Amino acid sequence: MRVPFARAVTVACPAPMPNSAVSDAADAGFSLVELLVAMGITLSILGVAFTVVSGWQLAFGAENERADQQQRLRVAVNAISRDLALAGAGAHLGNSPGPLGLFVASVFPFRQGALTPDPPGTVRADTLTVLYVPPQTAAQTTLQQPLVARSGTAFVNLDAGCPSADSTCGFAAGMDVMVYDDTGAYDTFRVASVQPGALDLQHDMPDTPQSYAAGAQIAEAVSHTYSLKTDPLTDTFQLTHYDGVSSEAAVVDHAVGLTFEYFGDPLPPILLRPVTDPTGPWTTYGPRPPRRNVRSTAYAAGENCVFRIDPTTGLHMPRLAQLGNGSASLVKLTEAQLNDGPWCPDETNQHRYDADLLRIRRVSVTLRIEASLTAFRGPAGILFTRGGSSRSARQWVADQEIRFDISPKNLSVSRARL
Amino acid sequence: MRRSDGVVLVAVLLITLLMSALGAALVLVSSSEAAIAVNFRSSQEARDAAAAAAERAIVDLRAAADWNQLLDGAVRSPFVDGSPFGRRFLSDGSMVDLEAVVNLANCQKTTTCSDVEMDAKTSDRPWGPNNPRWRLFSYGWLRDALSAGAIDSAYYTIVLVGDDPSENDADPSRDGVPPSPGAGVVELRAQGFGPRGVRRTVNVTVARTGAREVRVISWRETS
Repeated sequence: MRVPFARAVTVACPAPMPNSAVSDAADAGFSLVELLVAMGITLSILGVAFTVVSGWQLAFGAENERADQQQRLRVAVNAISRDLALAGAGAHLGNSPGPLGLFVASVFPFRQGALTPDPPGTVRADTLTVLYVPPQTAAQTTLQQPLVARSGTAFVNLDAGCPSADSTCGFAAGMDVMVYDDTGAYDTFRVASVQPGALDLQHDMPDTPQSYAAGAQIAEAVSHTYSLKTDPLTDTFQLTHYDGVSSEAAVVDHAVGLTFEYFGDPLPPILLRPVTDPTGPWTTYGPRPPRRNVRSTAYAAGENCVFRIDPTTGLHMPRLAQLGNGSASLVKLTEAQLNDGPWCPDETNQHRYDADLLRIRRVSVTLRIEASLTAFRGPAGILFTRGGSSRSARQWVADQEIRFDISPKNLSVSRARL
Repeated sequence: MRRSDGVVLVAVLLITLLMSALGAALVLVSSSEAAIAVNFRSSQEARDAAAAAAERAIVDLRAAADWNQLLDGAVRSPFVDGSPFGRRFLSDGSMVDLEAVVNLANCQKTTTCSDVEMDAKTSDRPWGPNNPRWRLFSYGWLRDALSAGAIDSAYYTIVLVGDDPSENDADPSRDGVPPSPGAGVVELRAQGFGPRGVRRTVNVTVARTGAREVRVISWRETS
């Protein structure tokens, strides 16, 4: 049996064939069996080809997704490690230079700032706030007059270290600043405007009656809060950054896990020299206690959040306990240790924080990032925090989890190097 | 010859083209990812090199009896790899010019700085006549900082020393005297250099607290 359209092929030839036998063969066309075999072979080849290409496409898509995932991890690690590495950097110019750890804590397991700050005593495993004086700023000096912790005008001295011939000591409108003293108190502000020797400040924290005496430090400072934002309703899973004032933004999307762990100095702070000495540092860490007859906080005269006075000897003794097994190795600080007091500057202060935060020397960060497309995520479980739509393991892009430790240099530099 | 014979060739060419395009894209993505990872690692390594150089320099500072001799360039760290000028070549052929590094720190240009340029008030150096005048303190390959084989690194390090700007004596070649707040305080500027132009900087403020005792006031990664 011949298929009818074979004739059409013959008709399409431009000239008649000279030999009738040859012409018959040429006109013969394909038999149905030939056609079926040919189609079968073609389909088989195409099937194999498409299977290979499809595999490549899946691999290509998954590889793209993995690259994106790695890049998001790098961005997140870079942002957190950069700010953590600088945590605790204090004034390096002027009359009382030194790391923040000699005055106040600079690493907090909670959110602080103008927008929805956490109440005192909060400890969140997925939230970290760090404070530091930026590396290249010259805006560092002392208060000329007392300042209450609310918006207002701060009069500043032009101490040594202020920029040459600058009546505002390098401060400028829009700059974020921090006021702190040796009671363990601190407040953050944004400079609204500057005049010679004076700064109009907008308070970035809830107002309190806290008053900073003349001579308290004022310096440009930044606050960085990193936290995990999870909202299944809007499918939002982000690592976010908050600047402590008004700006909050996502650092990376599809972050599904974030945990901060804190490791601290097991030894309590030690007094290095009499508090009456004119130059410090007076302690191994933490604020210097006041003189015995001076009461600077709600603690008794001569005491502060890290030192008390021994009633028997009359000497300053550490208020914090020794932790761990007696060795000098860092110990993991538990949630209970970070919210059970003693409180700095004291337990009546609305911005109080646990004095054990002054012990922090190392922060361990665990971050987990998922594939952004559900098509690359399999069922929820060990590999996937949130399940996806893929049922083929070949195109799975498992969650990536990274753990890294940062030991902020400025949290450990206060000890003398012998 | 049948007219349909060329179909197979066309089909094979199309499939080959498609697979080649996919393969090329895959290789491109993979190589870009690898390049990004290498750059990231290089940057971290340069930072670590700078930090290590700074730590080494602090040890040498502790041993120096008179810091004024460091500030005027008379004394340097024992960790140097030859004359304090010329070029050092990294593994990829890029180079570090010692004089250019010092000049860049002092007046933000690679050629010799004048006194006026070094005393100019800029955003990075706003202290005018009290601006630090950076001098070479130590320079050498990081791998040579410890005994042979202890450090496997192809990075070069430079540490500059300068007077801290918390003084108003307008003499950056001499340390202040008490009660100046800058007395017994110097600045170190440590840099780590790696292949492909990678460079990281750490600034450290160091105070002398005893005959053989120093204290780090501030540790700052500036770039």
